[in-house]
Amino acid sequence: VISQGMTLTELAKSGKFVVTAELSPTKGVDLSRLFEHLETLKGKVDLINVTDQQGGKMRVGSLAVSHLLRERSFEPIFQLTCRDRNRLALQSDLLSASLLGIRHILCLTGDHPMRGDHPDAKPVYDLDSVSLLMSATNLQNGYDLSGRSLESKPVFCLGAAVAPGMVPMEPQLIKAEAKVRAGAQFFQTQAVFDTKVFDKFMGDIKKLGVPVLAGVLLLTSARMVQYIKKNIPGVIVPDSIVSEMEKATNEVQAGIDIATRIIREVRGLCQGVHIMTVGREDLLPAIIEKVKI
Amino acid sequence: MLVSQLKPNDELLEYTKDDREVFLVSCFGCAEAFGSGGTRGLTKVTKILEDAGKRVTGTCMMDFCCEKTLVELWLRRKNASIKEADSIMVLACGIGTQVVASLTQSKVRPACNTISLGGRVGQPWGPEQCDECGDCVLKYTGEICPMTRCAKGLLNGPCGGSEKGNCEVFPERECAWVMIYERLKKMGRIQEFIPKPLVKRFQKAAPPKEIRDALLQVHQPEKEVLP
Repeated sequence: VISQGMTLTELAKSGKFVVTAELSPTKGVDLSRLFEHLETLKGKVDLINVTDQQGGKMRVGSLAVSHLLRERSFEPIFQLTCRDRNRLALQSDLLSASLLGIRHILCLTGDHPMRGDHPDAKPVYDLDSVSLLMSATNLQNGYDLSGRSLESKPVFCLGAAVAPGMVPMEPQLIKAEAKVRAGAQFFQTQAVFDTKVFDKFMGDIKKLGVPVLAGVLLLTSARMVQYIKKNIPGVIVPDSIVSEMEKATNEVQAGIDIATRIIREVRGLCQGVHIMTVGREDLLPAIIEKVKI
Repeated sequence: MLVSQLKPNDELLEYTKDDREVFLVSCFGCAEAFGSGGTRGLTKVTKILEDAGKRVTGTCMMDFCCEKTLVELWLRRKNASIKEADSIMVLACGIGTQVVASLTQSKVRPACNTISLGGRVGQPWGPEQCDECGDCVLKYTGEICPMTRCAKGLLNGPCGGSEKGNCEVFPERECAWVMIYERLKKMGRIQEFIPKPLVKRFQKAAPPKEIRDALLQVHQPEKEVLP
């Protein structure tokens, strides 16, 4: 749980190993199951990301759910993608977030709609993650993207994503640097499975001086591993983990073991973890308990 | 027929601010018709550069800047004066600029914004594409167009989904940003990769019909009847 007034970046700089979780809003308007999951997270995580129509699949909006999290005394990270909004909508949603007291924004380009459940949708991408970060920074400085003055300024703690397993890596690193120049104050990474690759990545990204939270994705079945391999861009699952899941008699337990092992291995390398439990938030307390964060 | 327009003077000078000597390639195809290439464009750009104290090391005019074989022939003929120059400025559509860039190790700058197809399509053979966006960014993207070649049309680097150099949306396609990265790296120009946050000026893309018509009007044939 984040102390009053502290941002993720300040928390990480104070030496706390930051733990964030992730909630995917529902496809529908009944959030009771989502909030049940929330109860299990109370006191266990510092902040909770709210995904923005993840994978290009139509859902309840991340801004509304972020607001409801705040009402329940959680600190949300509002994920904002450029896939569905032009620069007016993006800036307006940033101001709306500030109005609702939401400070943490994860600025993303967003998965292409072709991969989602509305493949015929018109992709927007008027801005991208870098220019979105720049726009949010401009708003904090009191002006919009066209240079016009705001009547009052919002305050944000801006985050960005980075894929530590991309080949080649250098373009990702240069882009990460551009994101920091544009105002990113923390990174949450795409799911990490190969901690040796992540170690090298951390060596390269350290110089940017912003906290990095390693993405940890909880695997719950061998089928899920195949799905990720096929459908989630930028995530590399090593064969050893694939076979570990395939051989497991209790797949959920094997997944928990893999997640806790990864958390232990990255603990000394970065400033926190972003644990993605994909609908199994009920398992998160057990993972946190095991690694004693 | 591709409709193009010369970029404003300050943009041309910004592009060449680090160059003292420039070689000019001018298209005698569509761009000649609109005064953005051909002899008229060449005269204008030569004056702009020379007034700013730069030397034009040589020029060449070719019928179709979108035709790779033809462009290669011309560039070979002019090799000596191209070598003297710090950069090549291309007075052609986005395709012409990309074709020249694909054939040389020199820095290549677009001199024009490509506005529209003007009703008919050019005849490019290669993978070079142009979206007629009216706000050419090739100067900042390693002379490869991410507006057309990146599935998301990203202007500031690759998304996180590119895998082994291929696109996450169309896996059979190369990732435009990996291509841009590899080209700049090979040429020793990696510092030009994502130089500043670029924001597209969509106002210039697909201008309203009346603007297009006005552009076309300027280049209507003289009233005098030809023999």
